[in-house]
Amino acid sequence: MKHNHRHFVPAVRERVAEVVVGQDTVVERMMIALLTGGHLLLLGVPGIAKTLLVNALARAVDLKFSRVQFTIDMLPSDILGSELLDQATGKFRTHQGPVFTNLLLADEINRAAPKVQSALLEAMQERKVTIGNASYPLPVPFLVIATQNPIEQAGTFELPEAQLDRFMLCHRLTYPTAVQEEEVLRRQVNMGLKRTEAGAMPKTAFDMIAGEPVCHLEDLTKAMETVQQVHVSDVFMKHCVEFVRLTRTHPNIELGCSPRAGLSVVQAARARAYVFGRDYVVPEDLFQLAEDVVLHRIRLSYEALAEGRKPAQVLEEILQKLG
Amino acid sequence: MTCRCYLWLPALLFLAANSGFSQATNGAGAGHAIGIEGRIMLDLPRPDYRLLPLDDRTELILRIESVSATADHRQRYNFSYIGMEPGDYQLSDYLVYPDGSRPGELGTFRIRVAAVLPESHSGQLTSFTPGQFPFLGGYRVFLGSLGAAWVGGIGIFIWSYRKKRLVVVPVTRLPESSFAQRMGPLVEAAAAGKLSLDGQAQLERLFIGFWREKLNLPDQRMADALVYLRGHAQAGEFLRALEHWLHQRAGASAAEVSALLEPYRHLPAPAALTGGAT
Repeated sequence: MKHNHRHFVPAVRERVAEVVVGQDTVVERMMIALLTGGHLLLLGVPGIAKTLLVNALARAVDLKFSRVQFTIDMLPSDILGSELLDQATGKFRTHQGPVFTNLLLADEINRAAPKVQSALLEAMQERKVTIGNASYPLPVPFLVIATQNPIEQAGTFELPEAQLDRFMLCHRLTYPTAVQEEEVLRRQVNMGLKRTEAGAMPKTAFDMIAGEPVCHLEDLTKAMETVQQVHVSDVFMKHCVEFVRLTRTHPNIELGCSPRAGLSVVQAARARAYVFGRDYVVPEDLFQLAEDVVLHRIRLSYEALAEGRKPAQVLEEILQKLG
Repeated sequence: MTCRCYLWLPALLFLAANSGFSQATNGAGAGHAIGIEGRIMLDLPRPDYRLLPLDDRTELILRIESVSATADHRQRYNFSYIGMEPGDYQLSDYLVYPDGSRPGELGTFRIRVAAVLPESHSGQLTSFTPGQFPFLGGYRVFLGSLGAAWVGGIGIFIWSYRKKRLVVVPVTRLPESSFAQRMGPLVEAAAAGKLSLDGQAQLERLFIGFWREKLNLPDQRMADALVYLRGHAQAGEFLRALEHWLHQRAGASAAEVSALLEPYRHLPAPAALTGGAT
């Protein structure tokens, strides 16, 4: 069992890579979210290993993991928990919901009604849950990785900007390359059968996740401490302030970045520097993370949308102006 | 004038009706107004007179209301009539025997239908004098004004929103300063150790832009361009040295900064630079 936080990042990456082909950037963003305690929203079409990635990460770091598939008929108590009457004792006892975990995968979060989304997002913000008259702190660390399907918007409730702002990062997943996809198929072909006493069935990638974690919470905590020691220069902060300010003054943007976005840039940049083995942040961290930190926080003006402009185009303009 | 006409016309009709009644009673052909039903009672020798068929040009409509025998073996005919034209109408012209032959014994008895208006009347019931077209006011003037306002309004609207004639004002635009020109004062200040934090941030961004331009990467995404720059031999080495100065906790000494910036001092143009920091 390894307890060396210096090897935390490569060990976790290696373990995830055993079951997931490619998606290095997503793994990097998940590591950043894990190291900073920020929440992550993944946008991607079904079938590109979102759930597998989160599952593999949770197992690799020995985190308590819950998965909730959001549906339109869910209630806040389905996530947070509720008070139940214990008939044996005649007293109410608290049933804690799936939110009481280290890593919560909120699958297709936009399919739930707004009150369920709000309940979860409150828990994300305050890191505690109130059931009945009592408040319960959530486990530490607590991280939500939510997913959204960018297509099939019928019957969904789009998260408003104020709630999207709670997610430190919003990463857009892409399809694997041809080589990577070929490797996925090759691995699947060689997986074989999973035998049980009752019978057998073909193995899936989930069966290939090794049971033994490569790191523990202690390593994660030490890694988080190291991230907090990553040096952020005054010049880098000037870059961040200038970048956030440009999103507020661009003529095509109706709603620019909040101060929370600036904080997220700095925090994420620190974690990224740690992931890349640096003890200081550099402008590249800002430029690499800008899309994931900012794109879900800005709203284009009506005129810009009417002209067919995309948020990514406008953001790139800002980055070009900055650089 | 019109009110007076309404007053005397019913009175005239009332008098005419009364005169017809007296004519019938007397069996005489006294005057009776046109359009007003009159009655005549006559004793005639035979009981079988018939009325001539009417047509649409008949000037007198005559009807036999009743026939009854009198004590002197004559027949009392009760006629009613309506005259369409004023004049005297001979009764024998309107009665025939059952075989269609004209009766000769009726003599020259006439039914008189009097005109409502006097003979000398011109036929004009009310006096009418066409007025002059008013200079201001009136329906036509109102419509004319409305049309003129509508046409004029459209004209004003089109004129107001016409494409303004472009007035070409000669503007002397200064050529956009190059990265090298913009970096110059900042580099000098940094070499002298007098560059502020804002200046340092600006200088770093200008260096990134400078190298993007130098390596022809302006159309590349910034994130990709930076990866490329860091991988480039000269640019990568220079940017890492710059990061060491600006972003590492220890920073760089004045001598290191001076050496780093030396190739970028007094740059005439970006193309003049042949290499990065060494």
